[in-house]
Amino acid sequence: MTARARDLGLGAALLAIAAFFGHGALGMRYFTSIGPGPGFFPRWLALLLALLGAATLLRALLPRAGAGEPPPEELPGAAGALRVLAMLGAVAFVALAMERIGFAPAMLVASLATMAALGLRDMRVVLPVSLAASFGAHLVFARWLGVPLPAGWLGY
Amino acid sequence: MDSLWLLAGGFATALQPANLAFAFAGCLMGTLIGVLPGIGPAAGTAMLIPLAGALDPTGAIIMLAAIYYGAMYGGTITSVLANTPGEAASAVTCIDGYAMARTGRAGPALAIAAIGSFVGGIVATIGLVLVALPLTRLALGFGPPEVFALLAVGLAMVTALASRSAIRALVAAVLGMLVAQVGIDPVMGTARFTFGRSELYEGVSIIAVVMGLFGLGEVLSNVERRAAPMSAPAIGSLWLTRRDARDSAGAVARGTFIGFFLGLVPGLGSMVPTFLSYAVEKKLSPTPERFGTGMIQGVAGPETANNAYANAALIPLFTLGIPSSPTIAVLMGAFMVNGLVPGPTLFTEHATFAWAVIASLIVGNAMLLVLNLPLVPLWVSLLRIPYPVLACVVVAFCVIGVYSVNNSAFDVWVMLLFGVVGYAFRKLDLPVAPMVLTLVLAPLMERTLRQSLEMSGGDMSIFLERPLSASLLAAAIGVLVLSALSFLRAVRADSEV
Repeated sequence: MTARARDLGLGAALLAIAAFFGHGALGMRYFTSIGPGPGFFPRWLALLLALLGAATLLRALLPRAGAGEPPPEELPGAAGALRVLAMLGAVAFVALAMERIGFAPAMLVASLATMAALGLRDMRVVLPVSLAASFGAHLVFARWLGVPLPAGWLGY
Repeated sequence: MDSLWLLAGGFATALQPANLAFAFAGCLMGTLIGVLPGIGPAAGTAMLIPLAGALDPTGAIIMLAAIYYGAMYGGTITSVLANTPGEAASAVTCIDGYAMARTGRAGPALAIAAIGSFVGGIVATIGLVLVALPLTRLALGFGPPEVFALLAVGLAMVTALASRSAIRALVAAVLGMLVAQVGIDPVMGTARFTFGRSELYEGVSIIAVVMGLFGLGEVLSNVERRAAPMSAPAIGSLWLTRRDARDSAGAVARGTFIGFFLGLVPGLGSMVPTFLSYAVEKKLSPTPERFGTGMIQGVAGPETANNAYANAALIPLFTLGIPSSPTIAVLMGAFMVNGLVPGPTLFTEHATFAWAVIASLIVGNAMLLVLNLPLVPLWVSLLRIPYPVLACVVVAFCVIGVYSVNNSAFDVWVMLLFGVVGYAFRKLDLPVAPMVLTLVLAPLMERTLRQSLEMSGGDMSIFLERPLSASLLAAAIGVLVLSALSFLRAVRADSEV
């Protein structure tokens, strides 16, 4: 990814976000009899973000865009992207399952899957860490410290 | 004199066995968080908020504050031994600290970092004791225009110094303010950008955003790169030579001064004091060309400034209710979880609590000095943990921390979303800290702006008619102008957060 491509993408994304918030703010009262209304602040912020998005786009379109800047971060390769997706999938699974089957079982499944996806296969490490991060964490936080965590199978 | 009596009362509370244990546990956990790569102080403090909810408020805040400044010291250990800053503010310590370690002088580098951190922390806390009551009295006289103008100064500082590019910092700041628009509007009670979800009526959970941006976002970056376990060189003797002590004394004094005064400025972030201190030491040295080869001043100055800043940054929180960094914003959240509102009323309505926490800062800094040096081999052994193990543990703590604030799986989804945002910010070269700070400050900024305009019937000149708000706004503009000058540009070039 070049600095120019990065900034073109960023500028376009900022304009889209500004349009979303600006459109929403237009449906709110801008000023009331007692002063600024709920639409006042978001409208100005959306305008400012649109200006910043336009400035980012314009800078990216200049002939010497990105010259003298450090190289941008590379996009992930296939293996790196898969590891990132596995991590996101694990958290999404916990968010989806924790109130249905309990925190500890959901976290146990997510931990086992994550460590496998990240290349750690030694069960002498994987199993105790997964149990500690799930049932162990539930025991310490929910049972001993009284932190509310959803319980499922066997009270975990 | 009042302050000293109140501080004595604070010590009576802070020295109770339970509170000493909380400070001790906080120092240990903070150092651990600072040592482990991929868990910065903001995410680390946020992860442990559930613990705070289970304790009494004084003990909880004493522990979280100790985690905060413990993490600041812990970051030094990996900077010196593995050339990897455990947290962002220690990045500059890598330069001369790691060079010292490679020549067999890791021990003196860690020792001077601990001593400097202790001196900086203690002096900044004494400063907090001295200015707390006068600043609180001043803050109680602030009207909405003054508060708005003060927040504008913070925003200007963030914009000027949080990134190489002022535009990129401003983008992050405005995005944070827009995220803060989600929820019930603070004056008329209209629902804004809530998509009909009742979970969003009180706004987006700040803890979920911090965990996403700093915790999960960092984990995603690390798993993409497949972070490898680190190895560390031998530590050697921890004793300083007479020459080391002589060379470091001035740097420690200057670092204390820089860290303390920059800690008073809302919104500055923790990297600027350390980089500024390094720049000053290099400038004042008769042999600037030897910086980077293991000059002890290059460790003593920034590490002292780091801890002086960390403690002084509590002053705007305690007296004005304004967080100076994402980690302080998390601490502010912890205050609120415990039913305490940081700001001028803290010293009137919860004086015992406030002075106990201040006294605990002195106790905790002393603990860190005594504790950490003998435990360095233990911390080093933690660097060998495989990253997948660390990633699993971090995710488990993040989920527990986020869920427990509102008992809501919805907040875990919010964390996931902001994890992706944090990962994208790193790819897009956008600084993360301004987003968190403006997310926290925007509701107060909007409320004071709207109250000011209600007072004036919509006339913006109210900000210029009041001397203090006019001066503060002039200062904000001055900061933005100064940011274009080379001096600040040199500092911010390396201060990517």
